[in-house]
Amino acid sequence: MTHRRRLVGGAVAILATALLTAVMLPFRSHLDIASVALVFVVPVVLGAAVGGFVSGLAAVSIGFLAYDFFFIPPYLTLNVSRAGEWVALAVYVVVMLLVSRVVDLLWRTEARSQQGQRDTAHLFEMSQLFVGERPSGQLFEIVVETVRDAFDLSAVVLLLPREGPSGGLEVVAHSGRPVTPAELAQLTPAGGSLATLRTSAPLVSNGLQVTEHLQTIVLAVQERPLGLLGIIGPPLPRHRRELLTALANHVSLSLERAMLRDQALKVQLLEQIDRHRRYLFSAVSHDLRTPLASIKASASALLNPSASLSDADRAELASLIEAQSDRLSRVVSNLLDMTRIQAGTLVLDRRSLSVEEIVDAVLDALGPAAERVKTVLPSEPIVMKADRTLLVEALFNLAENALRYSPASVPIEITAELSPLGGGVVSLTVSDRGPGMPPEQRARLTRGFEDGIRAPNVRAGSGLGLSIARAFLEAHGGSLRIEDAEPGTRAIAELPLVSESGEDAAVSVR
Amino acid sequence: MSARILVVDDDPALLRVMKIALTALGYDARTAQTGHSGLDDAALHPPDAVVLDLGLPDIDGVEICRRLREWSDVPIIVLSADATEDRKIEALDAGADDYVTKPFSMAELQARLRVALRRREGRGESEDKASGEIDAGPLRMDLAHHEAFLHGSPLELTRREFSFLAFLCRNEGKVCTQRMILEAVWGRGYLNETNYLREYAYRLRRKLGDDRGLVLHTRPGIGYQLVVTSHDES
Repeated sequence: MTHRRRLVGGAVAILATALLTAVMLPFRSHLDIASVALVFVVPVVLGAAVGGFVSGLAAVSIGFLAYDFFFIPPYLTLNVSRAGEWVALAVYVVVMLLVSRVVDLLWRTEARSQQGQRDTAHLFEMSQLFVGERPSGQLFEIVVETVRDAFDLSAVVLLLPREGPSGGLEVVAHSGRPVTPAELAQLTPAGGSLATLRTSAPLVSNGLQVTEHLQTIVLAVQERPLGLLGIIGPPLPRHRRELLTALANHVSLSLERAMLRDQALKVQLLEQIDRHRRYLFSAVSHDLRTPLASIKASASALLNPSASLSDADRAELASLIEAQSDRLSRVVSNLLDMTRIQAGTLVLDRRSLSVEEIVDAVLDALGPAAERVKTVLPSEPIVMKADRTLLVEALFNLAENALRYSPASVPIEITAELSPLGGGVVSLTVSDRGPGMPPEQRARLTRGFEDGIRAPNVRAGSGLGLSIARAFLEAHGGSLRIEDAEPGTRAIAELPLVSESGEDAAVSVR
Repeated sequence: MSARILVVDDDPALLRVMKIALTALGYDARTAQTGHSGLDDAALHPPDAVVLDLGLPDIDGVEICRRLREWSDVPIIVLSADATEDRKIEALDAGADDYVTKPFSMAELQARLRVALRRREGRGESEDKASGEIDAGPLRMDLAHHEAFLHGSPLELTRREFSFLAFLCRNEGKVCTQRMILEAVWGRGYLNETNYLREYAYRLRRKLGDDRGLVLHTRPGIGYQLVVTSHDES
């Protein structure tokens, strides 16, 4: 109950008493003193309702004086002539005191229940914070807004430990009037870090340290401090402080939850990177070891004294060594180019070349397996500006992969055409008649480099080949997609004829 | 008659090398590029040994081991390009006899093939012998009386040493995984006690001695293999 309310209550009581006295004065000879006493209930109730018990008390005193002075004979004196009138006055005072007490109590109960409702609403709002999947930043804002609103504070700041080894606390959210550096220094513990807080703070859990009008609330879960809530405003009464502690507990829990979620995301990301690395390692190891296996087997057979090789056998083993060395060096240069693309340091060597030229180079590189390739090229030559080496490698990887999955008796097909949708896009399609792939495996194959999930039957080598093809196509502003051809699989490479970024532009991917 | 070797690998270049080299070493070499054609060939022309790549495009190599074992006890040597050990162990548990990691030399493969083929011959002989007795080269083990003889002279073995050696002897030439041995000799509850194996392998090696026609190989991280080095039956 504030002073202002009491003064207003007293004024209301005086005014009402004066008004009622003025109204009743002309008829006082016709009114019996009991009726007058009844009328004087009104200012007392009004006073008590507005200003509480103290104002009610004032109203009773004024009412008593007005009653005696104006309405009890002899008029305009405080004397009382008859014993019955003494009784009336006494009853009036007692009843009025009781009335103002009751009115005051009613008023207080009402006010408290309204406060209770508001507090419940705030707590409810806080508990909502648990349920939603909000970004941490938004959560921090909601926390400071809600706390400031719930306690009519002038400012609220939320301080959390800084990321990284430097430690220390930083303001992550703020609501209300600006907080001066001096106030902030007063709010933060000595040394400015939570570690010192744990040992030096007198209250370990969500305790309150009252320093004038600045208060620090330690946000903690299971005695482990998470951060600080600094509030600036009028000192809070005891029951409000309890509510603040309850709110702080809610805030602590939702902060902890947000932090755990952030951590879980980080762990997930690390796991993904780790999977990716392992996949890459196994893919690279497969692609390097496969040609190496033939080379070592051939060379060791040539050197084996117990092997009786004919001259023709020796010649074939020697040429196998040569071919497999070429294959190995191709894998190595592909890997290097891929690394340079990922590092963003690869500069495309764009030159004018025709699609026919690329397809011929691929057939050349495939060697004897080229017999199993059927090509469908448009009658008009398609000319584009592209890096010859990378495009040939991309298409070679697609063709090699298709050959690997196709039965030896069935040819694979390479088709080149201008996209029917126009826009200067050429599409190169490699189709095989292999067993096809389930959709999720198709997606995994090209995504291989990103998430490294490998189906049990997918060869590491094929994953790497498609990933390399995709990276080389994307470096040209193109794309690669794998489709089910029923039967078989179709790999479709789409490329813009001329790059938008112009000639000899440095291309960085991702 | 030369032994027939079936090589299953998806790399045509390696198949070509193997065909030439194995033929030059006096084997009858056959090749298959997929798991399905390999299984078909093994059924039509039963080989004396199979050299099997673990990463085939159509059927997983471990699965091929399992399928072959359903109807054949042909020795299987697994080729693995994966540096990881667990695939090899899986294959050995599924019935493979030995493994070679790519890249490998022909001499190495030849040595493994020799062990595998000898094991196959030895198995043919032991089937004729009375049960209750097993042997591996110069080693003879009498299971009923718990007695072991190396070149005719008795070996002093504890109970466990005897069962360890008996298990290896029964699987002579085959790489036995740590798990297999622990399960057979110590029981299911001891699958993680690989330190037992180190201890007992050390003791057995001391008792078998050096250069006496029998070698106990350790395959690090994989298991153990008892190999007969000389074939004088005594």
